[in-house]
Parts: sequence; C-alpha cells; structure tokens
Amino acid sequence: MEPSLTIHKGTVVDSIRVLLPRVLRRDVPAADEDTKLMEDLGLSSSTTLELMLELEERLDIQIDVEDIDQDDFATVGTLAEFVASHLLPAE
Amino acid sequence: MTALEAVATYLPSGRVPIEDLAGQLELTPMQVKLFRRYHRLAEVRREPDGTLLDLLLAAVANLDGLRGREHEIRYVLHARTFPVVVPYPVNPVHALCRILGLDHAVAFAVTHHACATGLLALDVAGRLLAHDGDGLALVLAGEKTFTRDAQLVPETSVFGEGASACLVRHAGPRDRLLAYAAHVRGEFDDELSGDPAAYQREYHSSLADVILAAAGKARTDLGDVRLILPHNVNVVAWQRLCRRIGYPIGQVLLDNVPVAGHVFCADAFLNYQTARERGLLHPGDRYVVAAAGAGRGATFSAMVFEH
Amino acid sequence: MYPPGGDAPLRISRVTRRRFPEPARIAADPGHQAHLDAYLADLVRPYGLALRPAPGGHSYGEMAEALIAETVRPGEDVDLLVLAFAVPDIRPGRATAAYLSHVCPGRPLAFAVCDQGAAAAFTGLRLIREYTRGGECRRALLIVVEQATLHYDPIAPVALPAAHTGVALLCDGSGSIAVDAVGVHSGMPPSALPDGATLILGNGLAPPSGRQARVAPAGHPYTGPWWELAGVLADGPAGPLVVADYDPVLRYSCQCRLSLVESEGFEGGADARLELGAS
Repeated sequence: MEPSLTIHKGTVVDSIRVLLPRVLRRDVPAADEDTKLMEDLGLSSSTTLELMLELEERLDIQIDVEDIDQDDFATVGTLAEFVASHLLPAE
Repeated sequence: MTALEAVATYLPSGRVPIEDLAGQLELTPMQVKLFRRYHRLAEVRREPDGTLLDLLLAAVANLDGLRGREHEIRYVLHARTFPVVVPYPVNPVHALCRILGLDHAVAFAVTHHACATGLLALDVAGRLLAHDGDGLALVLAGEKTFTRDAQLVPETSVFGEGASACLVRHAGPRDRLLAYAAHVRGEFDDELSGDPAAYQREYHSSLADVILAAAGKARTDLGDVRLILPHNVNVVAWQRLCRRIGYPIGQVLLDNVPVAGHVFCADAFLNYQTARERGLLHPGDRYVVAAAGAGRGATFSAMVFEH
Repeated sequence: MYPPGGDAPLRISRVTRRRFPEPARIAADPGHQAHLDAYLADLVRPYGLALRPAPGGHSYGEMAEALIAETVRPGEDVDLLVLAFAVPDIRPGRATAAYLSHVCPGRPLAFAVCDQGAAAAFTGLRLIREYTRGGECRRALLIVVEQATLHYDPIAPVALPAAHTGVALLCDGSGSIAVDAVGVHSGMPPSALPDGATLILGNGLAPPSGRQARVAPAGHPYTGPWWELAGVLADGPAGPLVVADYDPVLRYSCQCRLSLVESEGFEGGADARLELGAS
C-alpha cells in the first residue's frame, strides 16, 4: 500500500530521542542513530512496541507493523528507517 | 496411532473488554493499547460465579461424541497450565467423574508444561490407550483466572476463562497424531538468576525449532502443512515466527485471540473447533498444533496431525 | 506413532529416599512469601476457607533436585522424568518439572502427575512403562514427593504427611529389579493380593490376615510404600515383591509387581538408604 504521507527519517530519530525517557520511565543518556535499543538502552520487545505507539501519537502517523522484524529494532536509526518507510495512509 | 475422536469447547458468555481489566491488572492505558494494537487482544471471557468444575462440565456437556460411550472412557485427564488451582484436597476432575458416571475411569491431572500441557496430555492419553488396545480417554483443559498470575502474562497476553473436552482414541480414522516434539527449557525458571529478557529473545527461535522438529518427525514439509493452530498468545510474535520459518501468516488461525484471549491449555482445541466450523480442514490435510509455556519454566511443543 | 508391541524391559536400578527436616530455602525469602500469600488468598477465596499462616513448608523443586543429585550420576542421561505429588508445595504456580529437567543429566522430557492421591506415583510408573516400551526412552526417573505444611484449613479432613519426604526411582533396561506390572484401578480395595511375594503396603492398606507384610510408616500417605520399597531393596530382597496401596478418598487400588533379575543384588546399600534427620 503506497503511503500517502511521508516523513523524514531524521524527524523520527528526533522523536525517538524525546520519547525514550517516557517509555523507559527513567533518564536516558543521549542517544544517536547508532545507539542499540536493546543492548544499550535496555528496551524489551514490549517497550519497543510502546515506543512505536508513542511515535504514532506524537507524529500523528500510523505505522504498518505487519512486516516488522527483529533487525528493525536493532538501533534508533534502523527503527526510524522502518517507521519512515512503513506509514499507513491517514484515516 | 493416537487420534482425536471428538472435540468440544465452552466459552462463558461474560465478555470483558481488556480496558475493563486495566485496573485489576495494573495496566497503563499505553499497555492496554499495546495489547489491542499489536497483540490483537480485545476481550476475554469471565464467569465470576462459576467454578473450575462448572467450566469443565460445560465443555463436556457440548461433547456429543461422549453420549452413550461413557463406559468406554478408560482415562480422564486434566491438562493444567497452573499446577495448583483449587485448595487441596478439592479435586474437580474427580468430582466431574462422579457427576458424569465416569467412576470406572482412572483420572488425574498433568502439569508443568504451562500452556503446552494440553499437547502433553494428548500424548500421555494416547500412550496409555495404545497399550490397552481399546477404549477412550477424555482430555480436559481450561482454568479460572483466579489469581493475578492466571490473569496476565506481563507484556505478552491476558488469560480468558473457558474450557475444552477432547475424546482421544488409539487407532482412529482421522485427526491422527503423526508427531510430537516437546522442548522443556527449565533454564527459564524464575528461581534461576539470569537474563529475564532471554526468554523473550529466544521465544521465536525456540518455537520455530520445535515446530520444525515435529514436522521433521512427521516427514512433512512446512509447505504441506495446511494450517497452524496456535496458542492464542501474541499475534505479533506469530507474525515474526512465520517470517522466520517461511510460513504464511494467513494459515495461522489467530481469529480467537480477540474474542477469547489466552484460554490456558484450551487454545488449540478452540482453534481446532473454529477450523472445523469453517471447513478449513479436508481429509488428508496435515496441520500443526503449537504452544509455548511462558515464564516460570518454559516448554515449547508442537504436534503434527493428519485430518 | 508408538512402536506397536514394543516391550523393552523396565527395570529399577537405583532407589533413593530422603526426609527433609528443614523448610525450603525459599521459605525464608520475603518476596516469595508475599507472592505465596496473595496466591493462596486467591485460591481459597471462592471456597470461603481460612488461611493458616504457618512457617516453613517445602518446595518440590528443592527436594527433587536433591534427590536427583543423589540418584543420577553425571553422564547417566535421563530421557524422562515424572514427578508425582498430591499435597501442593509452597511453589504452587511453578512448572517444577521443567526446572528439574534443567538440573537432571540428559535434560529429560519432564512433567508432573497430580490430583490422584496415592495413585499418582503408580500412574507415574505406568507412564514410564509406556514411554519406555518402544525403546526410544531408555532411562527414566520417577520422583514421588510429599510435604507436610498446608497453609489453609482444608475443606474436608485430609491425611497430611507428617514430614517432608521424597523417593526417587531410577529406571532403565539394565537394573536388577524388573517391573513386571504396574496398574491403577478405580473401585474397591483389592480382595486379595498376589501370593508368593513380599508385600509392601502403603498407608491405605492393612496386611491381609495371616500374611506378613512390610508396611509403610504412618504419616506417609503418598511416599510411604516407595520409602518402604527402598528399605526392602537395601536389605536385599529375596524374591518377588508387590507394592500396593489404596486411596480411600479417590477410590483407587494400586499395585506394582516386581521381581529380581539377578541374584547379585540390587544396587542399594548407601544409595538406597540415604536419610537425613530423624526417622
């Protein structure tokens, strides 16, 4: 399905950085694109999904998660890449 | 060869949206949203005024195949996710036998495979009957959401009340058990200090491995598996698993997740019934039943049947 | 799926018995206690029973782990482990058999049989018989356990064990005690027990008049006959044995017929009579 909305990967990265302390319920050291979500930040598969929901609310988007894979959760950058390329058309 | 003679299920009529459970389960609105959105959980069934015995009796009441054949029942098994669910010496499975005129049968509970115990019970029943040469076994599943641990699997699923009753025989004509693989992974026991996220990380590969192991034992390629009847936990996990093993997600019967939640060891039987009602299985079709126990000691199990 | 007519011999090669006079290690853990209290409160609420706070109690995981260490030697890979119990322990939500698989050589298929009173151990042995029949399961371990502490008033009078006790039977094809038959039947107590064998009776049966029998010590409703069997085997059995019991509440008559394979004797002695604490 062609997304009728596009978003810049950088915007997603910025939003992830803002949302991480909220999802993790603690202070988070500065994260960049290469920061590993699970190993460096301690996200579980569940808190990663929470992060996705928060991104949807913050950026007013809908993410198509059907194809999401373990590799997409590797770093801030890979997740942002996935989100930017898997938007559902706005309802 | 163990075969399923008949299957019946029971779901209480009380429907509880997961939002209504948020308080009881101490879930944040975000966690509820997560369950709805990614795990496709929507509501579970509850029967507040009913006991475990009531649930099991209701499932057996729906088992038409039992009527007139009570004398053939040699064994009655209860497959339990939670080992202890009533105060000792209360014994619902024996109370059920008395009520249904099954006093002649040998009854007991099998447990310690968490939600995968239903598959174990089928194997145990089949082996007993194989030696006896004739007779039937009645395999029961289903439990009450009586305590927090039996209401919520954190970050994974919400339990629902319900029950199933399955007649098992040796050497039946259909729904014949071709293979059973069970990988008991006691390293995930909660008394072992270790990486709590390890179970989550290994979940997909472990479940994939056991499904492939069962398929291998049954000399069946995944491409020849018509349907997977899953345990109703975590739709997103099944999506990932399917990609891992190259199996179409559309052939995993997940439609009961939103309407029943995770019904302990009864998921497979609920899903089997749905598959039959929809005509999804034709004679000769091979299908897989798969389940994984979560948390306090994990067991990953899979069976291959031929309809 | 199961090889038809398979009849690989089932033999007992080692038996260990043990009492556990101290409570479980985990009983002292406050986090555990809080969780157990909540679980038990939820368990009894629908039945209107009163909780009975009591210190101690044991965990079948801890007891069975100790029995495994004493019964199974490193390198003796076990294929199947069956845990039989009736009284719940202080870890009522734990998949204990799964944990035992992790600590037992061979990482066996492991599960528990319960809700069958004194018959559970006999059912466990029957299942070992069926799983080993076809030869794909070569070594199996039956662990029978009971613990003495109930943390609520039971709904009906019930015979609780007097002590935390466990017995482990290691079964394979090469032991010196053959399991000739094992069965559980629903109904009345047996009117007669087999002749020409030493009787080993559980708490549910009285010795038939005019016959000698080894009788399980009182206060061992579930491990009793197996405890006594361990003693008989350590002494050196002289001939066939019959282990029998009756569960009067659930109405099961249970019997296991054993015979000697080799007269060199059973590997008992120290192994079979490992007792800790007062007997």
